[in-house]
Amino acid sequence: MIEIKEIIKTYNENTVPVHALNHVNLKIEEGEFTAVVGPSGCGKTTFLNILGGLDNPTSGDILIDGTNLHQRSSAEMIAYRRDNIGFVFQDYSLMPVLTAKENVEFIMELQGKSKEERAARSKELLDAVGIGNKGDQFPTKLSGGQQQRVAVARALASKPKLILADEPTANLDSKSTADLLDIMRSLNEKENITFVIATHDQRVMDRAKRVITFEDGKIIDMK
Amino acid sequence: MMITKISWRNVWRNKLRSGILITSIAIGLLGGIFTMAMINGMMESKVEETLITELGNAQIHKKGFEINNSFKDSIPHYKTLLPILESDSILKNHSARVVINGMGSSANESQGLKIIGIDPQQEKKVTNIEKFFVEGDYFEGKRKNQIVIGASLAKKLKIKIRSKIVIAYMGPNNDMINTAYRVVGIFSTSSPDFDKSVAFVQRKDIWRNTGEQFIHEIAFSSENGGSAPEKITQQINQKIKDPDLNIQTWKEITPELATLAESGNANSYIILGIILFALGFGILNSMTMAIFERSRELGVLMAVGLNRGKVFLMIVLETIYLSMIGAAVGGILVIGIIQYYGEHGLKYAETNMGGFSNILYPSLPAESFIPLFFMVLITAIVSALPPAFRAIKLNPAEAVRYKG
Repeated sequence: MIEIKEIIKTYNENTVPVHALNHVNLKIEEGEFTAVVGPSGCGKTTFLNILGGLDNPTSGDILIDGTNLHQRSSAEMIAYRRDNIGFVFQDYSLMPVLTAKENVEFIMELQGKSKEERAARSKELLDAVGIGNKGDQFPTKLSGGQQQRVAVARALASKPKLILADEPTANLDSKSTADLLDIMRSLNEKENITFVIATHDQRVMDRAKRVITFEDGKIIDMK
Repeated sequence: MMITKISWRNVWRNKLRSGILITSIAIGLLGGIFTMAMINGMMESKVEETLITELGNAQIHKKGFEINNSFKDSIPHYKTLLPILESDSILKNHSARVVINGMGSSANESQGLKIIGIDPQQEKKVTNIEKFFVEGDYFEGKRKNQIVIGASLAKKLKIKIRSKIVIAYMGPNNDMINTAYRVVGIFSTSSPDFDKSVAFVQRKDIWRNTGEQFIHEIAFSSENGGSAPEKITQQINQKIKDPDLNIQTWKEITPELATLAESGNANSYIILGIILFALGFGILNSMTMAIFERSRELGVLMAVGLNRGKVFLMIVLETIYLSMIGAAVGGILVIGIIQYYGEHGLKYAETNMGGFSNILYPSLPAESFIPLFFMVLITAIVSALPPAFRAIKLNPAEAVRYKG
């Protein structure tokens, strides 16, 4: 379980302070499929960054299974992210010089997995996201929807407990969005992976188990 | 290793930029290495010419000869020495010489000379003055009192082949000896001073004219004796244990020539160092631009778990790959150019200048490429440091939002 306690994030503290997150409190249970919504600049991405250990809060704590996320050193945080959190970005953010298969295997190599294990897992994941036949293609040869599927497969490679997705459907057409959401919901239900998705997309909100609405750095609604 | 794969493929992402950088490195190194090869070739030619015209690789004198150049300082017991030298495989290529200072005069002019009395057949084992002949032959006739002189001397004395020249010198009994010699050969080296001040005659003529047999100098030559003359002197010391003899390598006899050769190497490395320094800034600029453009990508890699050490390594490796490709291209081109001009020569002036030949034969020993390799490697690593440090200082949260 993830417990977010009194998180404050203030930018430009010494000049013109901007409160990106303002006293955010939240509990996310294991296996949730949560959409974080709100207007641009409301703090969705900052919330995801802090939840994923990419950024530190100005104050407050995030407890994951009772352990304070931000009390780790920089090196420990990198290792924690690698092993426990998967990221999916709006523009896919695949390594353009690696094939789809290599993009998926990359994190596993960082984890020290064997070549055979990496090959088997990447095949399994690319099959799961429906592009098993595109493993040797470079990202530039794939459509946006296919690239985002590779990004999801990459996020799942390390067998994380939590996947954070920042506007994953923003650049996708309707069919690709529907396919991607099917894949994510399926993984959520079959493997009990927790998904937290920052989005403006109504289709994502419609498929989410819970929708949290941010405004001016505060949670103003939860359904 | 995925990191090495990423670094290698990153080199080819922006083909234009990488191509320009690789070309710059290749041209810079080509220029630098070719300059090195020219300087090296120039020095080698100078050394080789000095060794094959007179010096040989090592010499024996009686102690004190180098100060007085006196008749009295001839090598004692040379008749017992020569068979010992003849029987040794390393020392058998030697030439026993008479060396006297005197004056050469024609009807028009006079010039102070170092007259070297040789046995032409023996001398051919040590030197090759014939290579520089512009006229005449090397004591092929059977007439007495033949002389081979330099072109500069011939010009000064206004004499030519078959002209007579009177050689005057102080004999062993302090009596003045004047002998008329006939010019049978004229040589022209790159050193006008040598050409003007050294003349070769047959040893037997001097012996006959002075009435005594003596030797002032034994010169040696051997394979690789130019670069490692110490082997010859070590061998002589083993065979001959005479405290009255001065056994010296060419480097000891003419330290200024050895210094010239070594300073040529140092100068070459300084020139190449300056070129690499400039190239380093080009590499640094290019890599900084690449890191700037890839900030988001690097942020994503750090976000998904690539630690800063590996990010650093990835950038340094990319820089090393770029530099090494440039170095390889430049190296292959320059080896080809050095080989071509090493065989055909590069004429850089109409006449010899300052004791150096006007035709250069660039050369660079293979072992010179080892320090060059490390110089390029160090340049690459040092140039990679600022962009690599910049990369690891990226905040992943900010970098993943970077739009480029």
